[in-house]
Amino acid sequence: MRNGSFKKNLLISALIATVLLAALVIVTWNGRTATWFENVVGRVLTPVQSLAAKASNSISDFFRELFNTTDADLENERLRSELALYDRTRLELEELRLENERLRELMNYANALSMDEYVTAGVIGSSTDVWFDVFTLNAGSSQGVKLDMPVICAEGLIGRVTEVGATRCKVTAVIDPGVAVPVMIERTRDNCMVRGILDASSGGRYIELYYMLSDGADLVPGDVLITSGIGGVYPKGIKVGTVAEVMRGNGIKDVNAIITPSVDFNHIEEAMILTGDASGSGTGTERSPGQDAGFGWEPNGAGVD
Amino acid sequence: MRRYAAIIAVGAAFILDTMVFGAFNRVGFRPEAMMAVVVSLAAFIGALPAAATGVVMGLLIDSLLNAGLGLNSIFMLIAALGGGALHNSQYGNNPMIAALIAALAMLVKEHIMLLVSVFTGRNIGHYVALLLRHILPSMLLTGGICALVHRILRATLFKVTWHSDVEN
Repeated sequence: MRNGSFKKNLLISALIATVLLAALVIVTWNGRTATWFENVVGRVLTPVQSLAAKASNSISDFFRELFNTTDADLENERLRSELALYDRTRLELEELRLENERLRELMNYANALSMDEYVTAGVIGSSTDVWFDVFTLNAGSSQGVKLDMPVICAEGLIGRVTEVGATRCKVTAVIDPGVAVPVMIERTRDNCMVRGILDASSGGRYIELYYMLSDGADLVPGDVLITSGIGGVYPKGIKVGTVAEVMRGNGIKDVNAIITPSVDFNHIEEAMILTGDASGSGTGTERSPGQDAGFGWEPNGAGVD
Repeated sequence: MRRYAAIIAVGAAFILDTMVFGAFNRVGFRPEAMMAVVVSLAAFIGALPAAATGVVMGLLIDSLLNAGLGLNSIFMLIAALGGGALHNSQYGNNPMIAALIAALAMLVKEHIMLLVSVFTGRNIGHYVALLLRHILPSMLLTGGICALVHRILRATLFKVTWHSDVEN
């Protein structure tokens, strides 16, 4: 009898706890600033997590190199890195050229400013499930990080800041199925939107083009997508991905495409949080000492559509 | 002794979930070491203390790594209630039964996450493909970890306590 009463009380308590926790989930779901308690926990655990992330990356690299030891493999790896560098430079130069042409035509671009205020941070954790793509970085509000700031790495756009603590922040990646990014096709300058897709049938994470291209739009595999700057969150000109497959339907706005992200989300170790104004009204070259890790990313600025 | 065993098991699961499994997250599936430990602990020490431990650890993990706060705690609560059904029962020592409960808790978790994903506007592709390539492997791995944890806890630490319990 007593045992039955205990079980009944336990179930009622569990139900109440579940309702309270569900309410907590709803309240804390969207972008927020960490509480003082979370900041204290974060301050204690951030150094531990940083060390563990380094150890974890070392283990991961060890196994990768273990199966990647021939001269050809190493050479291949080196060439891939160089190619990525050249690709990035080419893209930047192409963007600069196109931008220059537009500026000549449109005088109101003359005062476009570069955005080169940033904070570099290490990735110290990632979400504990496969449904959401959230990374934790070891930089927070004490370094000037704020909600919705864009986060990039040498290969392109990673995502945006969705939670900020004193010494850490969480970044929701562009491959998260809940994230939509305004982009443009670099070649044709068509504007469209992309969002993440969890495609279990192929076992991979992709981005899907899903909005604003008409049926007759010129889109072919290999086209590069860059951020359009629309919406003011992401500055213009950051590489997002490359078109892998184009699917055409019969109706208007019926062009869909699978985009391969430019960033290898399995191997992000460092990231750069753009702390300037994404709309292009940044304050020029002002940087805090010790925050520049020399990524060499010099965006073409503007960000004006 | 029991307390130390529980602390070590929870600490190891925390390290595995937040620091080790995270590096290999995007192969498409991943186990939940904390859920496995909570189920096993609930079978040995009862649902209430295991649930309390699970809720606190769930909040900590969510605070450090996940979007939203409390979702993991709900899953740990469910796992603790499931594992608690084994407490003081003749199946309490059986790692396979504990593994089955952990796998079922994982199944519930993944389906709740799937619903949350759908309700938050996420495009999650085909359900059957998700079930086969993500949910089932995650379930099996969590069940496997639970069987291992249950066996280790029973063989090394809890067995001693049981003997003293019998003597008392």
